[in-house]
Formats: sequence, structure tokens, C-alpha cells
Amino acid sequence: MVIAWIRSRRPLLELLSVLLTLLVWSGLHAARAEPLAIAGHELKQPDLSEWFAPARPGAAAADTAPERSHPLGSTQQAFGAALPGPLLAGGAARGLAEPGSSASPRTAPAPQRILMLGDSMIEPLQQRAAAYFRATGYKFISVIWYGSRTLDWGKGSRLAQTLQTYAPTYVVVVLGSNELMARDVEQRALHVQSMLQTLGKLPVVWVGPPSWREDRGLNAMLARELGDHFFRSDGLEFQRKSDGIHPTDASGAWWMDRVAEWLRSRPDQTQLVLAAPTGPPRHHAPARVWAPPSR
Amino acid sequence: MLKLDAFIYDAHRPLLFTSGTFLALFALFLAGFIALPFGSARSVASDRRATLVKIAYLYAFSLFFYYKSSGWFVGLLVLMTLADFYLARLIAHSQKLWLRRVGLCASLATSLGLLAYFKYANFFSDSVGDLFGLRSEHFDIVLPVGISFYTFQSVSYLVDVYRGRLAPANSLLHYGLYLAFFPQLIAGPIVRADALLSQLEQVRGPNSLDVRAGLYRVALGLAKKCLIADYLAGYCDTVFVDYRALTGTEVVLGFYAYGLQIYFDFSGYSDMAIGLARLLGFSLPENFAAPYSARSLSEFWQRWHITLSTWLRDYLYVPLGGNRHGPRRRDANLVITMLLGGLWHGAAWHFVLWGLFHGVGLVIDKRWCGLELSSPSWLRRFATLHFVLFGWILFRAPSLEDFRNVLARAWELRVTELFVVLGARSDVVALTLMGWALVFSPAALAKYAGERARRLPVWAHALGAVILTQLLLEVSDAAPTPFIYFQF
Repeated sequence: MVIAWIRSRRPLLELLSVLLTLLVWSGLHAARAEPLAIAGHELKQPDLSEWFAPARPGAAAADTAPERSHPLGSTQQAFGAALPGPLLAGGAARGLAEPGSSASPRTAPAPQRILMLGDSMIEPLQQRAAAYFRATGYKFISVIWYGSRTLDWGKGSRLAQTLQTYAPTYVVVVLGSNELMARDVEQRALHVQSMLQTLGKLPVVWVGPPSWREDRGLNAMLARELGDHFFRSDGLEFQRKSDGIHPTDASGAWWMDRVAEWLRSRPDQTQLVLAAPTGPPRHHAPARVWAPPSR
Repeated sequence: MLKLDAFIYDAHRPLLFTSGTFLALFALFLAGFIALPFGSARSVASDRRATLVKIAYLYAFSLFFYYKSSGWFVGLLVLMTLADFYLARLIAHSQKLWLRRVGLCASLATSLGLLAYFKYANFFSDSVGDLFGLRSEHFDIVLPVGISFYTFQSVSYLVDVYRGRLAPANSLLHYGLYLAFFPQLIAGPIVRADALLSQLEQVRGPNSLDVRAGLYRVALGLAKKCLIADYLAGYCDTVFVDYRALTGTEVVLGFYAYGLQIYFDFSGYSDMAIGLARLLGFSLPENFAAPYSARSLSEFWQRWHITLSTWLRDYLYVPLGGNRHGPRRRDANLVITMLLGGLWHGAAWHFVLWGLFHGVGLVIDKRWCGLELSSPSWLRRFATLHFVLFGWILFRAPSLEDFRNVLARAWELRVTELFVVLGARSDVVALTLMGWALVFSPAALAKYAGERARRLPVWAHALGAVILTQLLLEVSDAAPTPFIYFQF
């Protein structure tokens, strides 16, 4: 009886056994802990001791070496000590004291670790951003994932891991340029929501893409999802580099000025007290660079 | 592993054949299928009962599959099934010509009306609005997945019944399964009613050969889609969207890559559909037959998306008059057929132009047949291929403006860039070369591989499947990209 039953269904049972093998195999694959996938080249890990050093309100701008009490091991501390040019810049005191700068010199801003993450549009923004934040006494790190989209950040663990590594107190997202043409805007909205969920209660602002052509509703979607945490860049006029896409350095600085104005005027905990950048320009390099995601 | 939400519709996770969810659901479905009574060869009654139970089970799973991909549009599919089934009976059993005509028109109006509403309402309101300078309201319409495909199946069924070529299905369940059979439901092949209905008379389930051949076919489709098409997709997206940032050489490379991508994507999908049906003991019509080896454009359309082009031929070109009213009428019919065929691919002007491009190409092909035949075979192949590849640029470019710009970019091709590009894009170059080598590999080779695979024991298939799965998991850490033809 049983044998007849099996015999009549033998091809199906064979098929089922193949499928079950596959299921077990892919289950095993999923169960294996996903290692942190870092594609492409990596810059030298920046000195996180500076980054994590507790900034003393009012003393943020001191030129002296900051305290070195933080959880990241002694080797890194030693390494950090050898590195000149900490993130906390000496220009800040001058910036703060500058008459006419919009930040009041009396009320020192609460210390912030500002993380800027997103796509290649960080490049034109970051020099000027670093100048602003340095002048104010904020710490600033940028992380560029070239060619990335909301899809890439919203999925997978890179955002969570980046947040874990840098433990920022404030996040500036610069994203959307690589998906201006996307038709499936509503699907991208889900990725934005997923990103916001990962960001949790962190103060977040989002600098929109400096559109070089009309999008298919991406900016509208970002504005809807992010409300007034979204800085819309698609109405601004930029001078572009020869690729026709990225703003030139000068245009990028001008762009950051617009963003800074907006950050100063924000109503909630995402408001930043920003001093006008002064002092000699100093080069800011991103803390980490990732090659474009494989699609 | 399988949570409850795996059974619930999620608009953002369509049930693709390449997803793990589908694998799990299919295994579950199969376990149920095995448990069904199989009937005995000795008793006709028990055999018939067993067939009925299997069809009902297949239909239930197909409806669930559609629900999983499209949500409550499954109701639309069922309504369409009911309407078609009873209208077809009316047409077949009525003696009065006017009543038969009314039945046909009612059915065509419903199916094509629904298709027009879901697919083209916004396009037409926009186009009319543009014409008269009005700002038209945008309807908030979600396209039910696969509607283009099952509408065409329903039309072919009704027209065949009306013409008296086909007896109407003898049970609602049979017709329901014909429209909703899950391997072909979402993106074809477009099956003719007689081809599937005749297989439903007696459903025995697969035999051993079916299982082996089906497994091989699905694996082949998976490899085509996930290893080649998906990898090239990323590059092609860049080429057609961010062409400003690329050199002319890279853009031209993208054109060749896109020709491969669309072929491997869609033929891979068709392989999976045909293979899945085979795994259950059904045979679906072939959809591709080495299209890029065609020696003329007419031949190309006999080899590319065969079930669509024969559908267009039988239900559009021939009713329009075909070639029966002289060459001038034939030319017009060809162009109209291809225009509408282009529009079927999507509600956008570049698809219409793509159709026009192919329509005009077919006219030239028919007119200068003699001239063509005198040229060597390789030249004809080359010319046909490049005509088609040029057509794909129009097909893929997000808009007509992009089409112009991307061509302008390609025009800036510099031979001096060649080696730089070869170095910087070595992966795409290698994969493109490999892909074209596969496309032009002798048909006998593929046939031999298929026959060899059919003779392998099941454990070898399992091993092959595991290796392929591992490969796929490693290559695509991103979620699967939907099939190109999915959205049409």
C-alpha cells in the first residue's frame, strides 16, 4: 500500500526532496551571521579618539589636546595622540568670538558629533560644512558611499553599522541624486522610512539632491516623508562640474551656506548654532568611502 | 522559517520566481499536491475525480499566488473569468449571429476596457491634455500585475470560440485555471486556450523525465536572469540614466549590454515559467528561439517573444486584413500592428515610437526582400541584429529627451578611450563578451546540454541546484530586481 503510494508519486517526491535541500541550504546561508561587507577601498581609519573625546561646553574650541578618555582602546589613543590636526579646530574660538557672526558668543552650543552620510554629493558640501562645524566647535565626520541610493541605505545593515561605529549625536543625510529618474518613488519611500526607523530618535536633517533635471516625484516624496527635516535643493541654481551633475566647489560652498542658514533657523532639536567659518581653509577628508553598491 | 506574513500580500514584495519565499511556498504547495488522491488507472471515475481535485488545487494555489503578487485584484481576475466563461458559452450555443456578436463585443469591451483603464488612462489623459494645453488630473491607478498577459489570453479564447475554432471550456474550473495558471500568469508565455485546456482533460502529474527537464529549465532560467541579466542591469541603468557621467565608449558598451540584458531577462523568465509548468507535468509554448541569429526582421519577430508576436498576428494583423488586400494595405497593417504592439509594452511615447520603428522596419524588410536575399547571410544577420539593438535604445531610454541625449553621448565615441574603458569596466566587458558568445553558441550545444541533464540522477540535480543557489546568493546580496516584462 505504502510502497504503491510512494511509487505513484515518485517524481513528485524526488522534486520535493530537491526543493527541501535548497530550502535547507538557503536557510543555512541566512542563519550565518552576515559579516560587515565593505567593498572597495577604504581610507585610513580616522582617529576616533578625537571624535569621541567629551567636548566640554565652552572649551570645545581650545587648541590644547583634548581629553583621551573614551572606550576605544589604548593603541588608538596613542595613535590619536600622534596625529596633528584634531577635528576640534582652533578656529572655533575665533569664529565664536567674531563680532557679527550669527552665533552668540555668550551661549556656547551644546556639543555635537555631526555625521554626514550619503552619496557623492557630499563632496561639494563637506569642505564648507567642515568649516562651519569646526568654527562652532562641533565635531564632524563624513561617510561617502559613492553611487548609493535610499534603496542601498534603507536595506541591509550598513546604516546601522555606521551609526554604531560613529555614534553621532546629529545626522545629515545627503541622498537622492542617484535615483532622480526612479519611477518607483513609493517603493523608495519605504526605504526612507526604514532609514528613519534605523536612525531612531537621532536628530536628522536631509539635504535633497541638487537636481540637474526634473525628477519623477522623488523630491516631493522626500518632502512628504521628512516634513520640515528636508532641505529641498532642486530649486537652486548650481554651477556644475564638467560632468554636468556635481556642483563645482564654489557652488557647493554656496549650497552649504544655504543649508547653514536653514539649519540655524530650524525650530526643534535639529537647530544648530552655527558660527561663520573663519580662519584658513583646512582640507576635510571623509572618514570612510565605499565603492558603489553592486546592483 | 516561514512566517505568517509570507502568505499575505505585500505590494512591495511581488512573488518572484527568483525569491526564497516562492521557493518555500512552492515546496509547501508540492507537499500538498503529493497528498492529493492520484486515482487508479483501472477506474475511469476515480481517475476523473483525481484530475478534478488536482485542477481545483492548482487553481486555488494560482489564485493565492496572484493574491500574493497583486492583492485583491485577484477579485478582478475572478470576475473576468466568470464573465468570459459565460459569454463564451453564449457565443458558442447561440444560433443568432447578432447575439454572438453582442457577446463577443461585450467580452472584448470588458477585457480591453479594463486593460485600457489600468494601463493607459493616465497616458491618454496626459496626451490629450498636452494636445489642448490642459493640465489633466492624474488618476491614482495601480496596474494589476500580469493584466496585459491574461487579458490577451482571454481575448484569444473568446475570439477562437466566436470563430468556431474552439469549443468552449467545459468547466469553469478549467477556464479559470487557463487564465490563472501561476507559471504563466504574471509575464507569459501567452498560452492559447486549446493548448492548455486539452492538457486539463487528464492531469496525471509529472513523470520522472518532466521533473528532470523542468529542474534543468528552471535552473537555466535562474542563471540567465540572476547571473547575467541582473548583473548587467546595474550597468545599463547607469548608462541610460546617468549617461552624462560616462564616456561615449561606455555608452556604446551599454547598448550591447542592454541587448543581452533584455534577452536574458525575459527568456530566462520564460524558461522558468516553462520549467515550472513542466515540473507539474504541463507543457507551455516556447517564447524564444535564438532571436538574435535572425537573418531578417520578419524572422526576428518569429523568434522573439513568439507567443506575443503570434498573438498580434492572429488577433490583430490578420483581422485587419493581413496581406490579403495588396501590398499597400499590408504595409499599413504591419505598421498599425507594431504600433499597438509597442504601446502594449507600456504607456509611453518611446514605446509607441519603438513600435513604429519596427513596423517601418518590417515594411522595408517585406519590400526589399529580393535585395536582401542577394547579400551574404552574415551581413543580413549583422544588419538585423543592429537594427534591433538600435530599437532597444529607444525602448530603454526613460524618455525621448534621454534617447536623444544618450545617442549624442554615444556619438562622442573615441577609439583612444577604448583601453581605458576596457580596464575600468572589465567586469561588464567580460560579461558582455561572454553573454554574446553564449547567444551565438551553436544550438546543438544547448540541446546536448539539455539532453544530458535529463539523464542525470536526481541527486545530481540537487547538487547542481545547491551550487547554483549558493552562486546566486553570493552574487546578488541585493534583493531580486523585478523582471523587465513584469511591469508591462
